[in-house]
Amino acid sequence: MKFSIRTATRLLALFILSSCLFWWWFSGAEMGWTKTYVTTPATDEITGIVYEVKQEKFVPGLDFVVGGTGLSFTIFAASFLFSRKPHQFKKP
Amino acid sequence: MKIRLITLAALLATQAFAEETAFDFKDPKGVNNIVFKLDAPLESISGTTNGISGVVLADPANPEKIQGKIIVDAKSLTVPNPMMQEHMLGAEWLETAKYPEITFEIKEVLNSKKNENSGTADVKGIFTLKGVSKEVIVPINATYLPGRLGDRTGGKVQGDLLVIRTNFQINRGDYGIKQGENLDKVSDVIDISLAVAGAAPKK
Repeated sequence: MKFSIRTATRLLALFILSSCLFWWWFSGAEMGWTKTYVTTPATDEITGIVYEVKQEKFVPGLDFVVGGTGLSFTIFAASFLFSRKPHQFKKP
Repeated sequence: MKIRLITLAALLATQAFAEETAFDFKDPKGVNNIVFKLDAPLESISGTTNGISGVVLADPANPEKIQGKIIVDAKSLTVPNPMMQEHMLGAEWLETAKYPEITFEIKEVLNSKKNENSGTADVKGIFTLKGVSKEVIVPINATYLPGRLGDRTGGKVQGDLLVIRTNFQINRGDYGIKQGENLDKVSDVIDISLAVAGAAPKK
């Protein structure tokens, strides 16, 4: 199966777009900014103080989706620069 | 004569603070925390800090007699987004390189109500943020836990605990933080929730 560079570029754009959306969706569809840590509440037994325990975790937010979409659209637009015909390798 | 006066003054001072205990709010366990929230029409920001220190002199039998200062390391304020954090601590917003501390100095205790080992009061003090000091009154809830420091340290250090909780609001514009700017994304009103425990080891 041969692909033209144009098709390959468009497939790359589609891959980036879908990857971003899947990652965002399956990370909990965070509607705010991307987070690099999440917190879980804990209670100190002696004082009763409720505090947050931080855990490093990358949670993509809407900025991540917007960035990924922008990148995929840029790659898609760049695909128009390439020819439709599959690249022919010259035999030696 | 001079020596007698100095001795008398020293004795009086000792009497005046005889019942007061120094509670240190530096917490190696990282439980002491402040949560700050800004709810703007387009964006909601929530962050925390554990970088709290300070000493409060308090007499559990007499809640009106309380003095001291709570200090927050401004660079310890964190939000989950690294770019937002960089902006928050940077020159445009909190300018933490120039103003490394956020402080609250207790001046007076009003309307105190005591119920066994806990009580409520309105504490008048000086809140300093980004180099601007303003008098504020914050409602506090205090709980005195005599002899409970040992439970917290696994018996290594014996002593008392003083737990202070408060919720209050400030306006960032009052402290010279981009007054009237970016109000759609960064609320002017900042909700602050503080929950801290001070330790007074027995000597």
